[in-house]
Amino acid sequence: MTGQRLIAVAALAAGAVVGAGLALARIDGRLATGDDKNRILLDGWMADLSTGSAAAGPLERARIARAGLFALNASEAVYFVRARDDAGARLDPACDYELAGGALPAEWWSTTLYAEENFLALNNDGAASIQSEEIAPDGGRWRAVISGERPADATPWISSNGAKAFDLTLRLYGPDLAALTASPPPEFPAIRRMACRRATP
Amino acid sequence: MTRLLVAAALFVASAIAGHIATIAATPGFIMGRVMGGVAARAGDWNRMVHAPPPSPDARTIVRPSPDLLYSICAYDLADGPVAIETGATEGYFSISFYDGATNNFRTENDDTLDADRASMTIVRAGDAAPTGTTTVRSPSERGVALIRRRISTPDRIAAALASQAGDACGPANRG
Repeated sequence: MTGQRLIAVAALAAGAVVGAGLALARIDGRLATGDDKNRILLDGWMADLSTGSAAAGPLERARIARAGLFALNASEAVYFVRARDDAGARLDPACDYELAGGALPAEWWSTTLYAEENFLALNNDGAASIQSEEIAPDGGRWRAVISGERPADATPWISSNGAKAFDLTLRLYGPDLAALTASPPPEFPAIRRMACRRATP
Repeated sequence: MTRLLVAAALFVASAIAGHIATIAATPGFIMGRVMGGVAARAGDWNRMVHAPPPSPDARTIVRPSPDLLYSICAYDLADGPVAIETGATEGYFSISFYDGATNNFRTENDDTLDADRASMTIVRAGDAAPTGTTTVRSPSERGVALIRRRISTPDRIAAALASQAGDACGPANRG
């Protein structure tokens, strides 16, 4: 093989690796993209209304395949994700948080904690999520605690025990899509950091 | 100088092609692996997996909802239509269909069906619709049917498990 051909093959191989690497970074959200026309952001909670539908673009489809395979389309359920507290700091398993809100525009909803790799945290606490029927059956105001330890009182609890990092998914089943995109927008749950068991960055 | 320019152009063209190909291939690649895994777990294609309530040990499908009980069937229409039945369910349940590219191309629930159970037949997009059943036209020959039931309290889990036992998937009766 001549030197010229070697350079050409090396350039093609390097380009393919870099291109694929950039694509994976975009799919995993490690690289910002401008593909956000179907996204809504409500009080720090982000959802993509094209999730699960044929209208989803190639990038959104790849993202869902990686981090939310078998998501329902927006007429059945809308998935909001949040990884930061109200102050903008990343959610940290070393800290306790108050999660509080009111009625949400859906027939019912749940909020679930996911640890690294998009799976449930490895613990036997039986407290991976809360759902509206349990903590707000009358559709009124509600409050829960996110912590690695069970609250001393009967406050609804989402356990972060066993997670090295985590985020939350808020699922709205039977969503009122008009309400989600109305102005003013509906109030979504607040996440307030309480105590931390060690210093956080 | 010309060699460097040619090499740079090849690099950029290859990077763009690699980028587009990776994004385009990811859904089908992942879906193919998951469908194969579901079929293996069921023993074959067109068989229902009655999954236990999601636990922290579940590591097959990302972001499982602990508020739902799932049944799942990886279907293959190569040999004809596939029938899906759900057990009678009190309260919320849904049945969703996903093609080989992850698209949720159809979903029905207790409200849209106005019933406590579903009886459906999956056919390929161009095939004739069978009579006497709700027809689901799949854009791809292979895909997934996923049944969800709401669970929360121990009572509800027990009831959902009893309903789940009635979920079935198999070749449609062609008689």
